[in-house]
Amino acid sequence: MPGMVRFLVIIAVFGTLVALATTPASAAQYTNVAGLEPWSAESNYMSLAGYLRWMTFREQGVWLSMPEAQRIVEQQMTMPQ
Amino acid sequence: MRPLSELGHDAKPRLSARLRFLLSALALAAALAGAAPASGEPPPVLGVNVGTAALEGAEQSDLLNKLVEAGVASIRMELDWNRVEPRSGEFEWADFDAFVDAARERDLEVVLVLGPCAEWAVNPAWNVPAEERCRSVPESVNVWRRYVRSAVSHFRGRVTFWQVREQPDAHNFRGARREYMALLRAAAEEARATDRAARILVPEAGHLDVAAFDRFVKSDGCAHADVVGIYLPSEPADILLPWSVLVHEVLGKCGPERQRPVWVLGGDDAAPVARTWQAHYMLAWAFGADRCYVPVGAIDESWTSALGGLEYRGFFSPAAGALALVFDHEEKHRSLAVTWRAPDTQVPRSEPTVGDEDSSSGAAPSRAEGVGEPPPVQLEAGESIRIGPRPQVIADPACTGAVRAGVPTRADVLATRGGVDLADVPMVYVEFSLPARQEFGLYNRRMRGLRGGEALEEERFGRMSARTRITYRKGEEEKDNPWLYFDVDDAWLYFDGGRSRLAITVECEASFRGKKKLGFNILYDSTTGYRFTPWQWVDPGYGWRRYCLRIDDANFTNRDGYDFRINAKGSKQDLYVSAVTVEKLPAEEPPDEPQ
Repeated sequence: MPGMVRFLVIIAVFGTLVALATTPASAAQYTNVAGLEPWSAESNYMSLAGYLRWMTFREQGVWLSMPEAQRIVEQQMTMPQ
Repeated sequence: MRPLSELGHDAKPRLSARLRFLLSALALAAALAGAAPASGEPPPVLGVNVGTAALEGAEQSDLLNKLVEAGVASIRMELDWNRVEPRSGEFEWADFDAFVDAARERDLEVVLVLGPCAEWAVNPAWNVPAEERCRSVPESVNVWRRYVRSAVSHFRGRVTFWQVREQPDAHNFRGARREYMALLRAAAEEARATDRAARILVPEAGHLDVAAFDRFVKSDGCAHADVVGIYLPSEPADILLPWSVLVHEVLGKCGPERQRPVWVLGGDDAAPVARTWQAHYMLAWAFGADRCYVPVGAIDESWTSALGGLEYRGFFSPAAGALALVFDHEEKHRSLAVTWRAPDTQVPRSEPTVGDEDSSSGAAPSRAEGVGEPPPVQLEAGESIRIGPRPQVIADPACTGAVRAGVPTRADVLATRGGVDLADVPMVYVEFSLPARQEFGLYNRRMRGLRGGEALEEERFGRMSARTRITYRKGEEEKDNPWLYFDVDDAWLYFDGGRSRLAITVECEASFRGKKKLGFNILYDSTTGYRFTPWQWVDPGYGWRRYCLRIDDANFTNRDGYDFRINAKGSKQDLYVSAVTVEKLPAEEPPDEPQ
């Protein structure tokens, strides 16, 4: 029985660590904004990178940096997501 | 009904890890040859996901021994790029060497995940927060190639399967899809050039995202994958439909050269609940997955020991909205069934029952409004049991004759849901002012927990409406709710590959602030992922306006939990929506042949 208790402690430790590494339910990919017109109502009068940043924050709770968002939008422009 | 633990101890001795691995290798070979999953398939290899904390734990040996005792045959672990190449070009393998060798000594196979990203490889100009750099992408694909080449070379003969990043979704992968595909291509080329035995495991980005899976199988990227990995939603009811479509309509209809074995790599259950993972494992078995990796904390010998000698027999529906998968023991004297009920099933209010709910199952109350407790389900003569969304495993169900062999099809899954037959209905709608049945095949109210979708219901001009709550000040983004989410009933439209032409009609209040002050577009799940319709301005004035937007490439699969959302961000006032209708338009007739 002590062996079982010890094992439970081990898997509790590793399980906690694995749980921290596990992805919470979130969007599969960043929303494709490539087809929107920048600085218009459909992009909330923002650049496409700025709009992607706002939308990602509202969907995921995470802010992309502006250079990251610009890079992702450039990639979206060249390939359907 | 006998307790499960009793059944487990009476069952035939479980397969040894070595034998289970051999069976899985045979299954892998069959899958590579294009065999379709069916009843009688060997069980999936039971694997665990282990964090890198296991590399240095003093209890590592105990952990590995216990995993072997529990019937685990494979371990999946990240080959942390930051750890093996802390500085560019300097590799340190000692920790992983020791772990891989210790596992192999116990006949435990190790699958290594390439990633997360080395922090030094991320372009500093991207300004990625330090704690998020591991989720980013390397600035140069060449350093990624070197890492992959070095790793595969170092573990040649010890590690066969290499996964390319862990679930590359928007949370784990701060990059575009195109960037992931570049990493995948580079990893496949380097691994195969370095070790001809190397096999590439490609994980999906969603949770059983069948549309993305379909796109991948049909794309050039498929050539870089030897195995595909999926992550499961936490509720079994959310798993059945996409998996049945995946088996029968995606993998079942693509050519053998594009078929790939499917592994379950994990799920979105943060807490490793043994009962849930037991059900997931049995689902994986029934649906023909070759492997099922579970959190290490979900390994519980009380359920793994009960698996020995089982064979998947088939499925049956013990009640409306419920499905049971039946597994027989080899001697055919005993069987197990895992069963649950879809949370949104519309069932009549229950009558006095003789059965008790299995309180240990943690069954959650139904999400559907106005629905009583589920009626008890008769699984064995003289006894009944209540079943809810949480799966329950039952010994010796009385279901002889009702069980159908094979993997449930889309029709089988939808048939269990009962309710109104929506298949031939021309339209579905939400109409908040109706005295009854405000939602018919189209749902908004249950989607209001999604981020940005907390709409209010208000009466306007004598009609009930759903109101967005748009904020305009910086720093109030958390309070911004500019979206109205909608889910189309799966029985009406689910994964049709863009064959349906739809008209979405939105009835909303006019723009009382004037011209070009209020508008919306619709973000919808299409054959190429989520995309926007053109922006629609709402006419100024008072009272109600109606706008119809046509969609010719919808591919609704409940990805990210919804099918489309109305987006009013960009407006200078809130949007009040009283009704939304989605209508299937007749197929366009081909143009007349010239005479």
